[in-house]
Amino acid sequence: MSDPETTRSVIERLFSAVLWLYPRDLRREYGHDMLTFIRELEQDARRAPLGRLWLAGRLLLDAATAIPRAYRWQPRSVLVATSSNAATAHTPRRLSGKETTSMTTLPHDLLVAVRRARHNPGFTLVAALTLALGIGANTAIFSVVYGVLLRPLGIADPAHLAVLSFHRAEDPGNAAGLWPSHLVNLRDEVEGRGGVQRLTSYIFDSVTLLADGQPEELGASLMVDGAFFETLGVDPILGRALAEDDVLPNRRGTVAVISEALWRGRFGSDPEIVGRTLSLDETPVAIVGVMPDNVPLPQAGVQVWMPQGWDVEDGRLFGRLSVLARLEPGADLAVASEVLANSAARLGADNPRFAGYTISLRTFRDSLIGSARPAILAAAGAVGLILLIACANMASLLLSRAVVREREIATRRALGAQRGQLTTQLLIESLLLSSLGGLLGIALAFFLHRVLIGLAAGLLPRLYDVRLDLPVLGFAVGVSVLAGLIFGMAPAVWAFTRDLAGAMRGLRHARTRHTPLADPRQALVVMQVTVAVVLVTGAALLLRNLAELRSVDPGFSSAGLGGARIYLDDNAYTNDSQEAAYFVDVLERLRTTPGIVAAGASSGLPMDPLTIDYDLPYTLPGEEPSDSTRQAHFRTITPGYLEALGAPIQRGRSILASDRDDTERVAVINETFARVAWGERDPIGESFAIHGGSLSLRVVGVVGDVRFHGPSEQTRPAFFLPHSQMTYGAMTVIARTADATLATATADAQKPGADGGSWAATAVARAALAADHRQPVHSTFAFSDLERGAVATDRFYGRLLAAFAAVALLLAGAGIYGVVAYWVNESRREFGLRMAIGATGSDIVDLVLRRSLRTSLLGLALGIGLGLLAARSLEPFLYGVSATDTSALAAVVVLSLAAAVLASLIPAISASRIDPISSLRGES
Amino acid sequence: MTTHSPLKPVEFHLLLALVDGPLHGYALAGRMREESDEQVKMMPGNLYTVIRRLDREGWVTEADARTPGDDQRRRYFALTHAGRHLLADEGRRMARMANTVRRRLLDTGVNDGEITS
Repeated sequence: MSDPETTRSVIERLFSAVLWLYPRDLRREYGHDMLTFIRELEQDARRAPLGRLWLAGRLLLDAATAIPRAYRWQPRSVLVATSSNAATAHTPRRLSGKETTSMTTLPHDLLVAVRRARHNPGFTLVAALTLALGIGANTAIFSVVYGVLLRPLGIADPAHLAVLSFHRAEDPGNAAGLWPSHLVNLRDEVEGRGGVQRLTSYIFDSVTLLADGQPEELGASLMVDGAFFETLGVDPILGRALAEDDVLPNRRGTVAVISEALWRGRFGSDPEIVGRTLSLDETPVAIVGVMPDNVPLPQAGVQVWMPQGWDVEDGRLFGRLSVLARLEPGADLAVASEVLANSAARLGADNPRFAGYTISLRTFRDSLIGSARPAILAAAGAVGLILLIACANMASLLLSRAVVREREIATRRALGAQRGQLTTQLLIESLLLSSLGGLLGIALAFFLHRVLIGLAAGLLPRLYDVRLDLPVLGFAVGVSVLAGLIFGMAPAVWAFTRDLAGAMRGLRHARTRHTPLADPRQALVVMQVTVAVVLVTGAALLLRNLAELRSVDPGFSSAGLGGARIYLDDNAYTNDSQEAAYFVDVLERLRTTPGIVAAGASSGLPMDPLTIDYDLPYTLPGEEPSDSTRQAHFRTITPGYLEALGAPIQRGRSILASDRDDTERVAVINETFARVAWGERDPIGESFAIHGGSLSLRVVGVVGDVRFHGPSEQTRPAFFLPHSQMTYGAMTVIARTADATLATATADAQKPGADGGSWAATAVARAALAADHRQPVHSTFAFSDLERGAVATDRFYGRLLAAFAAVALLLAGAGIYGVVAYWVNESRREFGLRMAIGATGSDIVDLVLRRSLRTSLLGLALGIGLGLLAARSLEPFLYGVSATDTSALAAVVVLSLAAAVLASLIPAISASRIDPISSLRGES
Repeated sequence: MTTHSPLKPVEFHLLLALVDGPLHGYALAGRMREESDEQVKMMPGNLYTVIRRLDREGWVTEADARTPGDDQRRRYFALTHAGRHLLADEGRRMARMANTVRRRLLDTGVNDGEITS
């Protein structure tokens, strides 16, 4: 798959588009060579830091000067030299001036515009940079909008692929997996009915890849059934997908499909990969195909797909099957959903374990990107406001210039210039500026979108689909042209509503500049300030919210805490006692490691994105399982885990080593569980039952609440069981060091916020390898990173909006500055007169500030009003603060006023330095 | 005697760069830059606009100088006879101008060393 389109660089693609601006003959003859040239320049530029940005700028300048020249020159009929026999044509004559004037008006207007832009480099630069900021930010965000929300998924007919969610009717957000027997029933009942064509299931698994003697835990591997790839409709890039034959008993465990990333990384893109054998979990497996990375199957990052080899009776799969449904073309999701819900209701009637559960469907796309959509669209809206401010700045700048050119325009009109001609000239000038801004903006977007991808890693789905390609560049071009047309209209309209005669006489008649809205530029300033204040309000609320989230007590202490996830290979560890013994061994080794003060293991960690947990239904004595809606989080833990975590035991005792397989079944519950189940009563000694009432547990202790999913979550009921009585092979081992200096002795020291957590994590990994060197560690982590990760999304959007607000404030400030500076310059005589009759410099500063602030205050008031309205849409993202938080609003007022004062202060000071004598004489 | 140059500096350097043999665009730009003491730095747009003009005027033509490993669509450019003559004329003209300058300055009392160093 070597598509040349994907291997071309952004610069190359950009300039192959620019080529279309050259005359056709030049483009046809030399276009290819120009691109070759650019490619070579780019190779040189790669060596220097920012070399490519610099190159892009030089190339733009080159194109801007070459294109008008290319049009200006017309071949002379006499000397169209066809070949080298033009030897007779010694010293040919130069073109005379007259010949060059035979050109259409468009290139001429363009030439005039280019000249004007070059003669006024300061104006051109400010205008282009302002727009570049707006267009660059918008293009970068649009690359995310397009990549995440709009780009085709690579899956056949994604509108008719649905994700099955099995959940309690009242709690749709908390889906459980299906049981194998359940799936078999479901297939019989619904396939071919209600538009459901086929169901396919998969299970996440963890396998160990053995190559070069080094075990490597593959992050995500999937056990899929035979219909999986056909249902998703994805073609492999090499070999074949898995099919029904592969799940037959004699083929199971002998074949696998691998991901493009694994193929490229581990196997060096070996074209002969199909047919090679891998060692997965110490079993030789033949690779039959390679799947593309840019297709979610069913999510990004899966590295191996293997055929399922489960039996309906396989207890270890209970609750772990994920199911996708392929609907018939034209089928209705709601109808199919109802058929499945009915089937679930029948199942519940037959089996009390599933009572109260139902099934609902979401489209595949929705489940992949659903939660990201509102935030991305909000970001796109916010960044659109920045463009609005940038356009207002442009309009204001062009208006100011049109005022300066008032006499020129009036003269040209008087000489009979047609309205159309003048308008065209003005529009071409603004289009040239916006194109320049657009091109710079694209260069900027190239860097911004990389930064965005870096910041959003792990927070947004489909980031692998975010890139600057043709549709995104098309958007940038469209926005540039649109912006150019819109703000170009302002001076064009203005030019035709002016008083001709007055302008020609050079009369600057008394314009009512001092009242807002009388001058269109003042209106633009009000609009800019309003919009900027709306953004600042949003940013202030999100940042306040973030600070609030950080101050929430998670219920444990993350300093010095680190750990490693270990998913035992079930071929090597075949029974509970082997699994339990392994973790006892690892923890023993850890406890004797110098520097480690506590260690333990759990089936899941708070705030760990890799922990998949589901609530378990439970009953109190005397309750019927079918009537009960009680459920609680559950974890199986080893002795020492709660102590290592730093969660305080409030009553009774913790899980101890004396809780063994042959002793009484016990549980430690959290405060919320105690309150929900027994209210004010002492829960110690009480009992509850799980597994449909079949397993009774006695409460021996109460532990403090822990926020499992981050600070924004409400605390939930939870209980902890001894690992010796409920053995899991997939555990996370954690250890705490009290000695933060250990961190500084290691590479940890370079990391901000190093607190020994990574050191502790490394210690866990070492102890695990010492216990069994064939068992890989899945991954290690410092707890402080998990804690940061839990608010990462809030931080990302908070920072994004803060950046937008800063840019908006900057641009609005530039707008205020431009208008005030222009007005101060216009009013030199007035200020000179005032100073001549006794006004001091500070009086003048005061006067300018007051006039300018009147406009800004109007914008501020409007902005806060609109900002409060807009803040309502932020409410779903706010946990700790209200949408009308007063301290946030106070910050908005102070910040916005400071920006407005700052922007007016520079021209105000220059007004106070006007020399009254010379200004009254009319010299400036 | 021609006092007005028929060639712009960029055109002059382009022709000069091709004296030793055909070059493709990137190499041509590099040679021009070297020979002009970094004064003439051509980027693709302007380079090919100038090449087209010189080609149409009959001073430069396309040459087949591709090496086997080269991109087969890449063009090489060479001087035509007319181009070579033009460059020679331009060289003579510049020499004459240099002499004139030297003579006039010597008349005013500025010695040769000050001019050349």
